[in-house]
Amino acid sequence: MNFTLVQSELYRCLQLVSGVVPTRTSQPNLSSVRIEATADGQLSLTGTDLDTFLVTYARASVEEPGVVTVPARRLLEIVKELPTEVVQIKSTASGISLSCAAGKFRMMGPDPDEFPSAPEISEDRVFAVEADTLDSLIRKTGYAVSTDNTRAEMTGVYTHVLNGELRFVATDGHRLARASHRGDYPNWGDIIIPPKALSMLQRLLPDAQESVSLSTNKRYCLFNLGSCRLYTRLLDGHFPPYEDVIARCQPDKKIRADREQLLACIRRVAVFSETHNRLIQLSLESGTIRVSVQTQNVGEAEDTIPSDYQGQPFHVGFNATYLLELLRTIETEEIFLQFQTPTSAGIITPAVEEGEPELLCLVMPLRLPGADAMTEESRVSART
Amino acid sequence: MPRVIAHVDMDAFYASIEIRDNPKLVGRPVVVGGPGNQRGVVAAASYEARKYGIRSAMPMWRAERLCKQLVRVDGNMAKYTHASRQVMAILRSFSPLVEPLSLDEAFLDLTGSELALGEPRAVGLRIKDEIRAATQLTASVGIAPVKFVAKIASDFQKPDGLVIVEEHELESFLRPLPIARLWGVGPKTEEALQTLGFRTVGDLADAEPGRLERHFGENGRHLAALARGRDERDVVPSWDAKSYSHEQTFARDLTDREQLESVLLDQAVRVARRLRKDGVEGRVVQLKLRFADFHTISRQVTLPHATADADLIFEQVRALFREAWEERAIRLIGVGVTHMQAEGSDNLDLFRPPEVDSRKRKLADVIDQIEDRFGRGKVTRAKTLKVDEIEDTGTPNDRSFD
Repeated sequence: MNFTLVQSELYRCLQLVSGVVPTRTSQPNLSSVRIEATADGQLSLTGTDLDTFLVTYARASVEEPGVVTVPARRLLEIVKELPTEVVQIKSTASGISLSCAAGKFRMMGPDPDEFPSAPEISEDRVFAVEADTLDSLIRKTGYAVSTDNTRAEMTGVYTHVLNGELRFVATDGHRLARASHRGDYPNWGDIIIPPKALSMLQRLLPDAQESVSLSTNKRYCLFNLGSCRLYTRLLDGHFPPYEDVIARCQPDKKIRADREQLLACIRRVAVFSETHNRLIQLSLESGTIRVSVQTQNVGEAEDTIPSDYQGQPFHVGFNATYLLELLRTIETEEIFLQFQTPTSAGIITPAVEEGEPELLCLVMPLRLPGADAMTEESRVSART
Repeated sequence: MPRVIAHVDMDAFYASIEIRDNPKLVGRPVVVGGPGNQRGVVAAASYEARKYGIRSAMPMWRAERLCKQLVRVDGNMAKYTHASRQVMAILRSFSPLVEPLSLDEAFLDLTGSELALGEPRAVGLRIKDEIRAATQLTASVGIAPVKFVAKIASDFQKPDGLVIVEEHELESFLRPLPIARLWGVGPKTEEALQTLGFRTVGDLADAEPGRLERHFGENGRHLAALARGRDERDVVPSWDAKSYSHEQTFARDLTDREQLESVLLDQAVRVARRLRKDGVEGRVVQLKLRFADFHTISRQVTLPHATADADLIFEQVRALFREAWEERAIRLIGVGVTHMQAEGSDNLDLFRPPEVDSRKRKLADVIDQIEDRFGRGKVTRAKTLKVDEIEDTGTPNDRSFD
């Protein structure tokens, strides 16, 4: 194998591939990058942790086609330090030699035949989605995935098509985000995309061509982004019946508020919240939303923003981080907040005048101190 | 800044609950406790009964002799525990720093809560009102800058009392009190102090420095400080415990998996029970193993939710055990729970409605109550019965692992 290309191109590809190469592994193959040069001038670099495979493509002038594998991080370190000039890479008996300007480097690498091959997925039947749409759907749901590996199916984003609408749903049991994109998407089956693939996609999508095509063989899904291909193992298991949870919400209080104002208000007040659960209290009072917190040995804070609420005062506790994370994903200036009881899910959506909003966020409350006493009280009065 | 410490003491707790639940008892002298002919003891006496000189811990036969019309009621711990939980939950809504002393009394630290809750008197009234609304029982509240003064103050206007002692009133409040009211002055010390001519707290406060110390040593210095209203003790909330654990050393090393796992289950049940009693939950479950060669390891797992559930703790610790055991002979085994937080401070779950947990919790509470009343082991899991066959070296270490 013998090829040349500019340092910046090689560096860009290596950086992306390093994103999937595991930092610690018992298999030396997995810490390597597989480099293949073909006679038609295409260079492909592959990295994998067996669950995720990333293949990036670049154009190179290929003297002699071939395949090598070399330690990914070491190669990245060298290439990063090279001047922005042409790099030449040649295969040797046990690795590669690399030269750039006056610099010469020889690296050992494992046998390329031992490198795991990417899953075979036919790209005959693809599902096409705009890169921007995919990016936005991931951004609006990815934050809500669970980190609890005992419920593996909830560590990813559930994707399916319903009545032509593409839906991404994520939940960690405390909150749920459902982002939709209306269109006439064909029915395509449902998949759960694991978190590593989601974060890789977020890095890759800004540079992707306009449309991304997905294909799947049930166990793996392939995202073809043009300049690269991302294969990911899909998560097994049944995603929880999220529609039931949404249907169970019967909010009787709906208020409109300014998203920026609420976000800033919560950010200020949350400074005083307990570190372990970040509890803040939202109080709906006539014409306002009051955000407050009292934390023993820390202090107290209170701030108010206007809202269109009319009715009995209503108090509910939330984890401030959950509210901040979801508010950041909403793109409209105004939002709707809907509540029922202090122990049932709050619903937050963009303020849209008609129809279902394309983004729906559920967040379960935290019990406010004293809420237990209140329920005990009601239990007693129910008995007497 | 002076501290604001409240002592909340339920009035004739057990007796008041019985009277509440049986209106025929209203206005009559009522005691709770076992029958006099079976060596019963007065566990609680209503205020009407106290007029006859009947006191807690008095043999029932004596109480019955003191008052012919006395109504004796068998105790119902389940009911008292339930009421106690209601009261403690109310107290925790005023401050996270709640130190329960028993089922019917607790300290709470309200320092710095004026802005949120109001002046001490207003807070005291609200605590009493909320307790009354939830339980139809009265409580007496004492509020003072010092723990022991708050306790004296709660007793000052019983029943249904509210006494506030401000920093500047400390001395004038304490001086006229008989010395027996001070913490740590039992009948023996009282007698000794009396022979030395001390009758009131004021006498003690005026005592020549050193005199008390000569007679009573370290304790004498402490008494002098108390008499001047000085006591730095803090309210120690139960969740301040860093971990809860239970471990056991065996008289002979165990190698049988089933036996070891049933010990773990028994330990998980005990630890969970203590967690519930203190109103806390933990997020980390630990296993400690000491092998026959004294090599000791500990393994832990972090849960997505804090828990006080014996089954869940057992399930986790069993998994840790199965991974770490390697079929070696075991000398000591233990279960621990750490990373404590107040119960109910976890985020609510979308897929696990609060009712599910609360049903399970209610079952655990009922078992706790039965055990409170009849002693441990009356209700037990079939699997832990195996534990009785295992010799152990005696006292289990009820301490933290580290």
